[in-house]
Amino acid sequence: MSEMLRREIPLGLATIIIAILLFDHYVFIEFTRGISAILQDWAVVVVATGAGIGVINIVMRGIGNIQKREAYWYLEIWQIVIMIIVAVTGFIGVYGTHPTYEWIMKNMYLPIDSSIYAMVMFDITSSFYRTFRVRSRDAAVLFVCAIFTMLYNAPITGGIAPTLLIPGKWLLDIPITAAARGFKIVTALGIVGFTIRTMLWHEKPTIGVVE
Amino acid sequence: MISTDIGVWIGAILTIFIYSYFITNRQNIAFRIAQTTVVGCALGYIIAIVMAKNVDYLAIGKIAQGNIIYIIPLIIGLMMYGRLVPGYTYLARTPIALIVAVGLGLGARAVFESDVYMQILASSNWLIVGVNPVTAFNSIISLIAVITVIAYFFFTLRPEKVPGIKAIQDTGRLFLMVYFGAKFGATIMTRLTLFLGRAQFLVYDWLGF
Amino acid sequence: MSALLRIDRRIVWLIILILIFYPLIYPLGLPIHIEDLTRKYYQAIEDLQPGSLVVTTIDIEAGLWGEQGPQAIATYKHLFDKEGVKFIQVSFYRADCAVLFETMVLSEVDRTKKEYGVEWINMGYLEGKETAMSAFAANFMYPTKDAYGTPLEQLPLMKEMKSMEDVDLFITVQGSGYIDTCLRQLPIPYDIPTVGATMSMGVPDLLTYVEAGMVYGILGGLSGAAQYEYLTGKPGLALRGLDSLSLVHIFLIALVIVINIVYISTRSSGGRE
Repeated sequence: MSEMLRREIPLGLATIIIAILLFDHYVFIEFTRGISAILQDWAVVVVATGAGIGVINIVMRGIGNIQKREAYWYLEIWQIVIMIIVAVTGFIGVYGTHPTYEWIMKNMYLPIDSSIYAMVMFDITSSFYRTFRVRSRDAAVLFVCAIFTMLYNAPITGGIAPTLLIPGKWLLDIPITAAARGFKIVTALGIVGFTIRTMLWHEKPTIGVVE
Repeated sequence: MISTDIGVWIGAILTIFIYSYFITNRQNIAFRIAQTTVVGCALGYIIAIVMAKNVDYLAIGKIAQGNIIYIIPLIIGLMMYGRLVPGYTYLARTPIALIVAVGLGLGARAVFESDVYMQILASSNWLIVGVNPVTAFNSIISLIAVITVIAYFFFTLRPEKVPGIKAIQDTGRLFLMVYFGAKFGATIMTRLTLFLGRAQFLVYDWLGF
Repeated sequence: MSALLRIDRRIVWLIILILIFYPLIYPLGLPIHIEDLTRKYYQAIEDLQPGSLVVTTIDIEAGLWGEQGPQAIATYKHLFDKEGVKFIQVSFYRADCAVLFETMVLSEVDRTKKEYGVEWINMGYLEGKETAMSAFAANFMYPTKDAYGTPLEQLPLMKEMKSMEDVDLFITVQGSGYIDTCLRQLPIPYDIPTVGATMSMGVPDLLTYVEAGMVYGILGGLSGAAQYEYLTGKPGLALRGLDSLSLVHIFLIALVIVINIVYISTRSSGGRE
């Protein structure tokens, strides 16, 4: 049984589930539609139930740092404390509506998360002027399109020099949209191909089966 | 006038803690305080909202209504924790298989309609004959762009075996440079705006300008 | 001049910081233009008749609030102002998206304009990403309870809105990484007219859906939000931030053009970078 749980059961399960979902989309049969709906529900429950593994991993790593007295080990204690506070207040009453939970998310989580995302601004602006050099034909094309896009995006351009919007608008409407379309088609074909390969057991690592 | 709300002050101080990274050019205690705070908050909401709320509403709630069959996904989900037990990590393969298979199945069936069929249909609307020269020119450029970009990604089409494919793929790469240039320009706008949001918080909400 | 090629990035950052903070404190009132697609986004909501049924998704994670927060606030203010229009709001991407809706968006709108449960419902966050989207699109009773724990069968609006087939307009405020998934699971299979608000870097991808006739209007980033605020007549954070955005853009464009001129002339005269 454990041997089958290592290989045949997960791979076979993946094949059957993908087959049912694809069949259900193109052929209407009440039975398979019902199975498809149940499978979708189950997937959500499995994700929700298994989400704790990330939490456990991080907490265990934190406890390890505390025991080994790594740099800033005392902050791991703070991390666990705030985790417990948010989890408990998130539980109380209707999930996620307690005032303390909302206060913490609004005044602590949101500012820090936003600030971390915004940090990239500094790196991206410095990399923009340092690496955008016209060294080759491709680099020149990249540079010109980036400039015209930024001119089109800059709110002031339309107000003071609407003519400068024309190249950016044309680029956005015609070649960029067309290239994005080609990119999208290829990506979609790749997803379909990958799905079929997974069904046929050619993408075992995706399911976690490593041989 | 400067804010007297403790929540705003905490938000402003934590924001400054994050940007202290650029002053010292490395992680410092202020940055680490903010970092551990956000990780702790994220872990807390995973426990309360992602796990507890959804298991309660979507499984336990349905089991209480008589749908005993929903015990099965709970058991499968618990198998994921086999990863933590040496010798039993293989148990996690079944829940991963279920999640991945449902995701792939839903994705593949939907993506074919929206990202292949509808996009090709939209491409067929480009008119070359019977329209003004500008529209015809734009249509030709669009058609060339789509075909060459798609051809670029067929890496099995080798230049030594398929004559002319190198020119087609080079053209596709050129159009991809156009696309990535635009994406980069837009990315700068996005990142600037994200920082602008923080700046507005500090100036308007905290300092009261 | 070749020293420009080695300019210290902290000098550039300092200039950018000045160009960001100065107009926030002393607004310059620089002009803006209204894009076609922004106008269509506005018109799609403005043209909704009483009795129209709408589904909205807000999937902005906390990190993207700076760019997309104003989009969300302006959209929901507009929706709450539309008399007789009913909507269901749901989040699929992350739990903090629903928290942001509660704490940051709902605090800015006049909730007295619509009766909860009759004219609008907040489903909160549904775990499962694409799976949850597909399940929800087929059956709006899928979550069983709303964001506040009320069983859905007790809410009168659920008698009118059962699935995406009943919907007249789909509005999504999404980060760029997820908008493809959202569109292909929710409005496209049911042929529902859609308008979308996304980050600036998501606009090129969303344009492919516009040309395919699946999306009618787009709000792109903060600039789109500012234009939308202007059209609705409710100025907010987006309009106030445009001056900073304009100045920094012009500065960066000028800087990189000058650096490239210096680079090309240095290279052609046989100098080193």
